Amino acid sequence: MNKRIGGRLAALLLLVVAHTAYAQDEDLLKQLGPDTAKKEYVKNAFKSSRVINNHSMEFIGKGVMDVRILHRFGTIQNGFEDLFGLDEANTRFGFDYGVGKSLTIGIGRSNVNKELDGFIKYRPIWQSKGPGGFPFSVVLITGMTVRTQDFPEPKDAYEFKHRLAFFQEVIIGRKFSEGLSLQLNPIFLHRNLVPGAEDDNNTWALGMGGRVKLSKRTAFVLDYTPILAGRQEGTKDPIAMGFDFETGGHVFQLHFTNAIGMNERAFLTTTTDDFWKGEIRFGFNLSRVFTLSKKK
Amino acid sequence: MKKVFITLVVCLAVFVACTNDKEELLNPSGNDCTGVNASFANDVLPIIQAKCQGCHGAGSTNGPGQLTNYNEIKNAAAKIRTAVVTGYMPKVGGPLPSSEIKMIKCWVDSGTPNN
Repeated sequence: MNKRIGGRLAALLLLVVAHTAYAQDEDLLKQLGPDTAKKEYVKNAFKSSRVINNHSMEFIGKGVMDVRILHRFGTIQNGFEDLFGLDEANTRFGFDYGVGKSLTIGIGRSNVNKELDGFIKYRPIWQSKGPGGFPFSVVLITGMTVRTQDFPEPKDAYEFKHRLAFFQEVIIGRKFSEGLSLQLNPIFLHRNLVPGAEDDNNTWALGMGGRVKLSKRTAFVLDYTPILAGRQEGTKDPIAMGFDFETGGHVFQLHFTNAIGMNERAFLTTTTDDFWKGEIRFGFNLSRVFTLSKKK
Repeated sequence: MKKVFITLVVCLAVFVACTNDKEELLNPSGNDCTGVNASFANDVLPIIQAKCQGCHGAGSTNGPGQLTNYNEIKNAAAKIRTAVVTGYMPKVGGPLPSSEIKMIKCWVDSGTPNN
């Protein structure tokens, strides 16, 4: 008992000493002048709000609308016969809007399954330098997809809820230097309806993304999302790699991937091509930002 | 900040309302392969000819390419199964009726026989 009380007193003493020392440090810092140290948020970890398929730790600015046009073409295996897959195109149109510096909402529509998707992206922790700085960013994303394509006959076996899927995602990312940014993004996907009796409605994946800056306007990006559990039968892990090109208000992401889908439900559960067997598609993400409200 | 939390709570409420349904079980008689003897010549090929060859006919380079004979269809069987079961294919004309999905699925699951 005495030992416990003694331990608590020692801990209290340590707290008081630490606080006094901290206060003294603060006083010394004040003597140096008001502008010696300032918290500085780390910006431009990625050129775009997407690595390629996955969301990146980057945000568009407050009051900014990002119009996004995404394409995934056919596999490149047939060469000039179908111009490396360009004869077959899948598209997603999307609109992201920056509600705040750390809050973005977005909607989109893909031709595959005639699917709508929407998300809310929030950054509770922003990587920063200086006093009170934090070594990495934490981003939370919640979203859902709605299939608008008709179900097969007999249609009355299906209800509206069967059109829905949901995903929750956490991004933990760090800009290590001007040239290198890395992130991990665990994703949980729930589909209200899956095809087979043995298929799992829940899918867990761990996204890994990185950017290596090559020049002021060019970067190499890599986006790999291994499925950890609940894999849809016959599907592979989505992989994508390519280059970001920044030209004024546009960001072009030109890349190669095995994924057809352009929202989380689609690329996590419909990627049937094997990247390592050459079943690769050319694709691009085109992003154009418009400032809708003036900065105050 | 309040708005952010309200939005997240609303999303969570929607998320909690999720279900765990399986398409195969919604219409069990339509998906059970027990006793089904799916024939390539009589069942599978006519479906492929009617519903797939518009885009996957002779000379096609879309996806797995042309699907005009047994060998081509057999080589692409796993992809065809996943594509029709998940509703990704056919892109033109919407998903196949359950009876046709069942035939393709049962034929692939029985080892893609040339029967």
